[in-house]
Amino acid sequence: MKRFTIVLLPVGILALWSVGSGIHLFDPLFLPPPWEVVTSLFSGLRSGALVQDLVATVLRSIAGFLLAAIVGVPTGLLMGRIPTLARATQPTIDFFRSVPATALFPLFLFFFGIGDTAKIAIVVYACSLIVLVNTAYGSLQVKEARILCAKVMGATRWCIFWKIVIPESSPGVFAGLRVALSLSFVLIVVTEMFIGTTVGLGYHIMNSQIVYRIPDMYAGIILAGLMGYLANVGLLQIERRLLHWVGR
Amino acid sequence: MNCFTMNSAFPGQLSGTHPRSSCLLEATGIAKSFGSGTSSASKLEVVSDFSLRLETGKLVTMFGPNGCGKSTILNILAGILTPDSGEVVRSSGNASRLSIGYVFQNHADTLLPWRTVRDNISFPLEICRSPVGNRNDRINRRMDQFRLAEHADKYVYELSGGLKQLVAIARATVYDPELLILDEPFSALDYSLSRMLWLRFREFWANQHVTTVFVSHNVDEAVFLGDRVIVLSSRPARVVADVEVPFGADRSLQLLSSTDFFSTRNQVLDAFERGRVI
Repeated sequence: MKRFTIVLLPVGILALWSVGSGIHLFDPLFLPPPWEVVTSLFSGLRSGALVQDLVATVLRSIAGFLLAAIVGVPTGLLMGRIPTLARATQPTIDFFRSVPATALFPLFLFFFGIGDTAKIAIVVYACSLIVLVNTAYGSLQVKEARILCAKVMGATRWCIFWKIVIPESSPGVFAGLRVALSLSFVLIVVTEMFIGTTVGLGYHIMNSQIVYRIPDMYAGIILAGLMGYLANVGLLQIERRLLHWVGR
Repeated sequence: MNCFTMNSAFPGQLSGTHPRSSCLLEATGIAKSFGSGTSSASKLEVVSDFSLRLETGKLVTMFGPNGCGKSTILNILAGILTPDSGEVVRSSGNASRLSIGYVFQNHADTLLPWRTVRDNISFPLEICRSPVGNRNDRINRRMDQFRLAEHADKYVYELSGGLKQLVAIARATVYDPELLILDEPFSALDYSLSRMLWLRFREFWANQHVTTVFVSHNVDEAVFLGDRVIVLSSRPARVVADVEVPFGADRSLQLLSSTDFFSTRNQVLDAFERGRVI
C-alpha cells in the first residue's frame, strides 16, 4: 500500500502527460510526448554520451557538497556554541545568504576562471551557508542539563564538544545537508548551462535546447531529477540509521 | 588533617583545612539568593543559614516542601553554584578534586539517547580516560548490581522510566565517586515501582557505602533509604531537624510497615509541619 501511494503521483503526472500528448494538447516543440523523451533517454544512455554527462555532473556536485559540509559544519558548530561569534557574523551571513549564488557568476569567474573550480566554488559558497545556519541552529538545541552533568563528571570543554555537542547537533546538521545536497545538484546543472564546459547535464540540456532537440533536453532534465531524488534517498537512509534516537 | 574549601564553580577546586577526619564534606552557614539588584526586595532568598556535616560512608536523605531550595543546596554541595555566604569544606588527605556522581532531577535529559545503556554507563569512564579493560569490568559490575545486563545493548529511549533512572544512577556511580548526589531520582514513578527501586538502590548502597545525599519529597523514601533524614523548612531552606534513622544497612520492604518505621516517619513529619510554619 505504502509503495503504491509513493508511485501514485509520478504515474498520474505521466498519465496526464501521455494523454495530453496523445490528443495533441501540448505543442511538441515545448513538451514532446513522454515516449519520445524515454526513447531519447535510453539512446543517450546506450551511446554513453548521457552517462558521461551524468558522471561529470555527479562528481562536481558531490565535490561541492562535501566541501560545503567540511566548511559549514565546523563553523556552524562554533557559531552555535560561541554567542559572541554568532552576534558578530550573523548579519553578514544573512546578507550573503540572501544573495542568489547565480548572480555572483562574474565574481566567481574572475577568481576561479571558467573551469570546474568556479562551478564547485559556487556550490561551496551557497551550500556551506545553508549547512552553517542549520548546524548552528542544531547546536543551540543541545540540552544544558547534559552539559552540566558532563561537567560534574569532570569533562573538559573539548570532551563536551566532541561527545555531546556534536552528536546532539546532528539533526540540525542533517537538515542542512539535505537541503544543500539538492541545491548542489541544481547549482551545478545551472553553472554547466552558463559557464563554459562541454560535458555535464546542464550542458546537455542547454545544448539540446539551442538546437531544438527537445526530447533530448527533457531526457537530461529527467536524469537530473532522478539523480537528485536518488541522492536524497541515500542521505535519508544514512540519516535514519544515525539519528534513530531523535525525538524519542 | 588536610581539608579543602570549595571556592569556585566546580568541585575540583578545593582548598583549606579542617580538623575532623570522618567527615567528607561540611557546609556551614550557607546562604543563597537569586535575582538581580542589591535590594532585598528584588532578590529571592532560597537558602538561609544552612549547615550540614556529611560523614564518610553515610546516606543522608533531605526531605522538605516542594520548591524549598533542595536542588540549590545540592548544586552548592556539588560546587555547581557558589554560595553568597558560608563555606563548603572538604576533609581529605590530598588536594585532588572531590569526585562527585550527580543524578539530576531531569535525569532523562542528561542521559545520551544516541548511546546504548552500556555506552551511557561508560561515558564518565571515557571522560576520565579509564583503561578499556578496567572500564569493562566496572561497567559489567555496575550493570549486574542494578540488574541492567539484559538491557546493555538497548538504547536508553527503549527503556521504561524506572530503568532509565537505574541507568542514570549506574552511570553516576560507575567511577566510584567519593560523593553521590541524587535529586529526587524516583519522583516521576508510581509507588510500587518506586519501592522496588528503593530496594535495589539500598542493596547497591549497602555494598558500596558511598557517601550519599539523596533528596526526596516522599517521606517513606526518605526514611527507608536514609541513615539520617535532614528535614528542611519552606523557602528559604534551613535545617529544621536532623533525624537519626535507627535501622541497619540491610533493609527489606517489610520495614515499611513496622512500628519503628512509623515512629521515625512521624518524627520526620512533625518536623516537616514545624518547618512549614517557620
